[in-house]
Amino acid sequence: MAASMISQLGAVASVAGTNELGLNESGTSKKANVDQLSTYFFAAASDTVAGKIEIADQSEQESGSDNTKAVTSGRQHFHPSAAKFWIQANGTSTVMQSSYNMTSWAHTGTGDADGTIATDFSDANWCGISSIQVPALRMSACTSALNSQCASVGFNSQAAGTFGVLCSRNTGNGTAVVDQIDPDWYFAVGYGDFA
Amino acid sequence: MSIRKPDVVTVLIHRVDGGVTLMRVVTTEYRPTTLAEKEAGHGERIANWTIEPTEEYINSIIKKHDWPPELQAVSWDIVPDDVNEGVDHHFRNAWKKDGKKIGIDMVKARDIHRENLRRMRYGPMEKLDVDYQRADEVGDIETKIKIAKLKQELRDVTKHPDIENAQTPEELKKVIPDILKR
Repeated sequence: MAASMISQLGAVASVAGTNELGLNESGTSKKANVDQLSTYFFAAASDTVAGKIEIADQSEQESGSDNTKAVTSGRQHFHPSAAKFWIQANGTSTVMQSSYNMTSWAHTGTGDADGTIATDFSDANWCGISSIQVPALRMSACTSALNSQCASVGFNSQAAGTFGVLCSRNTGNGTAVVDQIDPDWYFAVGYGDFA
Repeated sequence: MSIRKPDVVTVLIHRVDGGVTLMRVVTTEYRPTTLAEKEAGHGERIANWTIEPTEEYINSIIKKHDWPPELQAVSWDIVPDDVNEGVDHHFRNAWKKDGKKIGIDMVKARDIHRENLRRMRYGPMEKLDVDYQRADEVGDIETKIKIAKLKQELRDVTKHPDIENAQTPEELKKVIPDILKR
């Protein structure tokens, strides 16, 4: 650890080494190298002091517990609060309208779609959220009228690098599945740790 | 266009169960450009990663899906992205591979249509059950016979000869027995 105070530097008669600077502390000549100078001029940053700060690496981002290291845009996605993949896909045309960290989207049947993830999760235990857009069906009516129809969606498979979603039309306050339907849009997001 | 809309190749998979899976395989994922990249003339978006859709790569994606036995791939082709445009979606589960296009398996389509008719008759049948009980409570035999006849008519909707006679999805969709139109 380089000395952080000039008073801690050793006294010298002249600056002899390469890449060294001479300092004067109350009439005493001292020498300091670049490391010592940067420590002196740029103290470590804290909650109250501006200063130099180290960048968090992947494991520190995944841990999410270090308050002394900075997050960079290229690594923020490793934090547990960041979505590891997401997709917006058309329910009928199957077009991938918008996606992140996905390698494929497959339509296997009415109301049945599967995705593969580019950088996989560390295992099959991750949190998936799925949703749909179905303006033709009054989603809210599901709770108010016994025979009204509504649509629901959920994951039907989940592995480290794949997932499946099913979309169905329900009736009887959402208690009975009428059939599977293709929504206008599928949305799916996943949270967890990368492999 | 969405900045995050990926480039894809479309793969039509012929399955063990005779059906098809339509799969979009990402070949380029995009991200928005930074201000510096924009100033350097890279436009609104830039490739995050790109991959060649080789046979080996597409096979690896199919394998990764790990579909159940009936959905396993028998063969596949890269097809135009709009291969499913104009194909009847009402009978999606009757889709079959027709060369590099999508065709309709009419045997499966008829089964789907029969299932739709069963769903359509559920409500009227429930109402007739209630009417029958009420007629029974007051001993109205004439009404009970009439209702029994209607219920049989509803049971027979899936046996309507026009279902077998229909040769196209359009013809099949029009086969709605009169009792279900009331």
